[in-house]
Amino acid sequence: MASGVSAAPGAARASVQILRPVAVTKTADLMFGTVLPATSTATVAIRQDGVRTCGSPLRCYGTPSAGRFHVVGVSGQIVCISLATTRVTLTDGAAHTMTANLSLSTSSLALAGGSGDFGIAGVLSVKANQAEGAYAGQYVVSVDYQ
Amino acid sequence: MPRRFITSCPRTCVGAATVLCALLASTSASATAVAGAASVTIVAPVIAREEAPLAFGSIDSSSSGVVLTVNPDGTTRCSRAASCTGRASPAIFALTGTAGERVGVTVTDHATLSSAAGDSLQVALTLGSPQLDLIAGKARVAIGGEIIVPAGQAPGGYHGAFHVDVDYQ
Amino acid sequence: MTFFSTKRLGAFGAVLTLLAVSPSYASTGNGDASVKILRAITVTKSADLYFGKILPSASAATVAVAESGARTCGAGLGCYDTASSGAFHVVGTNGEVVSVSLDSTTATLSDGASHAMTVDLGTSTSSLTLAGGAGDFSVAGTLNVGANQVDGTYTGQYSVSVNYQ
Repeated sequence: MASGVSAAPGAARASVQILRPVAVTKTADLMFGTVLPATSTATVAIRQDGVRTCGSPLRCYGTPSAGRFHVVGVSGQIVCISLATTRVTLTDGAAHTMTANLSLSTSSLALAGGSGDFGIAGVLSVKANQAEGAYAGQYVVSVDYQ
Repeated sequence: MPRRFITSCPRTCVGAATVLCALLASTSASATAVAGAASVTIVAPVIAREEAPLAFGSIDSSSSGVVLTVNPDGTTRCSRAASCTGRASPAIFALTGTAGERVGVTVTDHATLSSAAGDSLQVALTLGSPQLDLIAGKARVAIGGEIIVPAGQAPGGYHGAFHVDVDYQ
Repeated sequence: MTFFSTKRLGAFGAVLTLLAVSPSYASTGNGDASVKILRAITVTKSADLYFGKILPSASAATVAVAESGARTCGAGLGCYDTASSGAFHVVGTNGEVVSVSLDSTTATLSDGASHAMTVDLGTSTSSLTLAGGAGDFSVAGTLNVGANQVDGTYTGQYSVSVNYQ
């Protein structure tokens, strides 16, 4: 009877990486500060490093801030970051609005030591004679393992 | 070790397909979503309006020089009481702007008062407060001054103007 | 009285002896002998069974990887990275048919720290024809992820047997 060979030496391996959920906390809001509008539309930009550029007919005051988030997850993993939408509407709650375009500092983050941070920069469009008031809006970031 | 596939992360949703893209991005049941706030305060121009001028009253310097100090709080000090008469009071400016905002005030150091005959006197100006909060959108700031009138100064009415700057901070 | 010569008797006796006969019933033909010598089968693993990266949930669920490598992620779980079915390459005598079987239909994956999960293994290949002297087959698996499975890297081993038929 012919005999066979089993693959026992160098048997195959089965494996899986079990993850635990990513924890994301906001550490700073995106704040454009205080702006005096002009008679023409202009923009206020905040860079990832928090530096604000005030479009020339506008006057800017107060302390600006870029958005910032802290991510905690499985050490060594890479997470993907996305914005649900890159446009956020700021409103004063009385039918006056403005739009800001947002951008992420990165779309992928390596969790070295199990954590990492990323930022949100933005460009706010201030309309001519924008109505006075405190305006706010919300944006959503999504973080997932790769 | 399990294999690692280097895959790039999907792009952020942009452009016309934003709504569909956002829906697709959010269907991953295990993604973690967190909200951030974006904010800005739009302010109205701050306006400064003079309610009362800086007044030194009447000064008699015929026999000797006189120094009259008018403080922002309304108190006055005349180097020679008998030489200062009439009403001396600080300038008062009414400020209006966006409620709750803080403004900074600056004023020039000196003002020159001149008479119709061309004589002049110098006034050193004193600002009552360099920072004010616009409570309910309003505030008042006082500006005092010190005038030195040399002995024998030509009589007459002396007038001048000074500049006040107000701005949000 | 008739007298015969002794010689004549002798000659008669000899003639009798020459007339004795033996019977004939056996036949003959040509025959062939042959044997086929086979080369030893070698089986090498070409891919490990990899379920990917799994985010567990509060309920137990399964992750299935088909022989094609396609993964089905159980309800409530998050599945990431690209999964892979197990794959083996068989080399043997050209044209021979071999039988394929899993030594065990279950395997245990462990994180080396007292946490484990079981895997149910399967293959649709029970026999393989070695066309050109070689063949390949895949192994599928279903991983049983426990509720709130502790995070970590879990590995285990399994083996297959391949024999000439």
